[in-house]
This record gives sequence, structure tokens and C-alpha cells, in this order.
Amino acid sequence: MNIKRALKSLSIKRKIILLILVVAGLIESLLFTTFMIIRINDYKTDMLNNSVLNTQLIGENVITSLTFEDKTGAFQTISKLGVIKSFSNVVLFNADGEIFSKYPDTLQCNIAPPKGLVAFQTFSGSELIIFEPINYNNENYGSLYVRISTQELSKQINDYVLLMLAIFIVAAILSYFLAVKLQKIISVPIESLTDFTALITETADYSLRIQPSGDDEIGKLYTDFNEMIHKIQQREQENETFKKQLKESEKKYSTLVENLTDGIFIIQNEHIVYANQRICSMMNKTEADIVGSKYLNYFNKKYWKSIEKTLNLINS
Amino acid sequence: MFFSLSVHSYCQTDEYLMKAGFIEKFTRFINWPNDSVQSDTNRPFIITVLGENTFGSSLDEFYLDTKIKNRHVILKYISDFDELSLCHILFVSGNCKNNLEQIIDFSNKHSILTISETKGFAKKGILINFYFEKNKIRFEMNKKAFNISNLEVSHHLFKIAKII
Repeated sequence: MNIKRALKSLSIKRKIILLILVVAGLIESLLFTTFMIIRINDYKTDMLNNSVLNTQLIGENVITSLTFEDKTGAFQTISKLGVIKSFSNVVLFNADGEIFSKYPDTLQCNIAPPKGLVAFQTFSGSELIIFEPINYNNENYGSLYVRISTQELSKQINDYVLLMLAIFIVAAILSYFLAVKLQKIISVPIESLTDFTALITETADYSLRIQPSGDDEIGKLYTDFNEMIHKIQQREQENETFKKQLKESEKKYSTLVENLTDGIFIIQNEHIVYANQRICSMMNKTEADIVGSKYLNYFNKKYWKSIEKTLNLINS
Repeated sequence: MFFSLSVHSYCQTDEYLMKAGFIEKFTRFINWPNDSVQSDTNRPFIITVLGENTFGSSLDEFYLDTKIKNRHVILKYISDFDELSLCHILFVSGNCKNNLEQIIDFSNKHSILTISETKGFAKKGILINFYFEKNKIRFEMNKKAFNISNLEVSHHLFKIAKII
């Protein structure tokens, strides 16, 4: 509620800037989130595909080692995976599911190939685990179990998030400056109209006009505003004329009434609101004495009813 | 890369049992031409030993219940080249060096995989030759001879052998 009130009390300039920033911020957030999700998925897919490919290549290269039970050759081959920094553990199983070779050779492990020898890949904590059966001519020769550190992937993702964050901040700053610049297109004509209205209110000079800035709604508002002032100005001029005429008429009427030889007073709601000089002298009272008093007081009580009757008749 | 297997603790029978096993393993990586008689899956798989039988009973023991390419294995032991007929694998003993050229010609014509265990035989055209190095069984392959033989060999096998 307070926010709504605070928003309402903001100037049009600030409202437009805020509006642009909110819209730009929302779009940027949406875009950056989408890009980040896509990019992170790409990084993961790339890592997965490369790792699976490397594992399959090594698997192909150990087929003969497994066939001829060449443990030295098998170790030399799987050691090649160890050259890739992220490959932390490699375990080579033979067709019977026994550990045939492992890298590093000091590795302590009690893992066994899964039943069914189905290839799988899974991201688990800070590792990517790959299990790849080694088949040749539709015959299984063994399997490879590989654990790969995802530290490099995390670093790539972190770097990307930081980059996106930096771009987001730069974009937000740019949006702000653009908003400040662009809001003028709308706010300046409105502010000019506000200032012009204030000037007219202050000076009551309806002869002033505001120059329309364009053909848009604001331009039309300017034209209509000028038209409105023009009409007010006309009405003012007419009023002045009427006032002047009325004043002259009043003056004539007053002179006429004051100079009459008949006594006249004007009644409103049974009270006298005006009395001419003649009636004052006739009653031997001042105008101040008469004005405000009840008119019937100046008549004999026995005529009151007929006077009221006559007045009602006149009024109706 | 060479494969190696230590045989210092094995007796001679074990050595030939291992060689018998190797022969079966070679066949996993070798295919006979589709238009050859050997590729007929209804026929048994024939291994012929030419010359002195250094295997003793090892081949018989090993292939008693072992199939090659899902086919029963028939073993033939012949002492003379004239007895040689169509087979899949021909094991050439060391005492056949005098008519080695004839043997190789016949084998190449009929897509026969020739195997020996005599130094220098691979260089002369035998496709696979067993040898010892540091008490370990190793084998060498004559790549050029393989190209002539029409046999289809997987690159996997070359990875583990010494190439001549």
C-alpha cells in the first residue's frame, strides 16, 4: 500500500524511468536466465559427450588387451585417460566383471559393473560417472567405469555466470541512461504543460498559448488545452462585458429608485433588504434601521393578512 | 604396443595351451572373404598343423569344447605339404622351412591364415608368428602379407602385435 502511494507520488519522469527499468530488467533477467540454462546444459552435454567418446575410444583400445589378458597393455591404455586432468579414476573390468586394471593403480575400490551391462552416465555431486560396456562383434569383452571431476565444468559455469552478471550490470546501467534520455520524449511535453498551467493559474492570463510539440496525443492535448483557454478567455471577456453592463444598469436603477417620490423597499423572506431615501424619510428612520427588519412591522396589524395575500398573489 | 604373457612358470604344455587359446582369439579379429569356402558357416572350422606337432595334445584338449565363430573345430595333423587341403588356419612348424614358399603361395591363394613359431617365418610371408621375449609369449604380424592374403583383419589386432 505504501509502495503504491509512493509510486503515485513519483514524478512522471521517475515513473517512466522506473517503468523502462522494470521492463528492461525483466526482459534481461529472462533472457540471461534462458541463455544461462542453455549454456550450462551445453557445457554439461559437451563434457558428457567428450567424456563418453574418450571412454569409448579407450574401450576400443583395450579390446585386444582384454582378449589376450594383457594387463600391462591395458594399464598403459587406460593411463591415457589419466592424462586428461579431470579423469580421476578409471576401472577396467573383464567380461567376468572382475577388475582387470585400474588407474591410478593404487586406487582402492570395491565397485562392480552393473547388472545387464547397460551404459550409463550420471552427474553425482562434483563428479561425472560413466559406465561403458566394451563390445566387439556383438560380444562383450569387459567394461569401463570412469569417474571424472566436474571442477573444470563448475569453473566454466562460474566464469559464464560472472560474465553474464557483468553483462547484466552493464546492460542495466545502459538501460538506466537510455531510460533517462528517452523518458524526455514523454515527460518534457507533460512537464511543459504542467508549468504552463501553473503560469496561467498564477497570472490568470488567458491570452497565453502553448506551442504544440507534435502530432501525437500530447500534441492534441496541447491544442485542446489552448482551445480550452481560448474558451475561458472568451467567457471571461463576456463576463467582464456583462459585469460592466450590469453595473451600469444597477447604477441607473439605483439613481432612479433613489430619486423617486414614492417610498420603496425590497422584501426577501419577510425582511427588508433595501429601502430608498423617500421611505426612510417617510418613516423617519435611517436605512440601517429599516434594512433587516420585518416589513409587516411597518403596517397596522389589521392589514397584515390582506398584505400577505396581495404579496402571495404577486409572487405566484 | 606389445602384449606379453609370462610363461616362465608354465611348463611346455601350458605354453601350447596358451598358444591354442591365442589361435582362437586371433579368429575373433579376422574374417575370411565372403566368397571363400571358409566363410560358409555350415562348415566346421578347420585348423591344420603342418610338420612336427609341437602342440602335443594341447590343441585337442583346448578345442574339445571350444568353438570358433560358433562352429565346431576340426584339427588335422599332416606331415607333408602334399597332404595340405583347404582349411581356415594352417600352423606351420619349424621343419617346413624348405617348402615355405609353396606353403605361403597355397595359403594366399586359398585365404588361409598361416601361423608359426619360428624366427624369420613372418618376414618370409607367414601372417602371424609367435616368439618369446623376456619369457613372455608375443606375436608378430606381417602386414604386407595380410594385404595379399585377402583376409580381413581388425585394426585391434595390429595394435597389440609387433608389425613386420
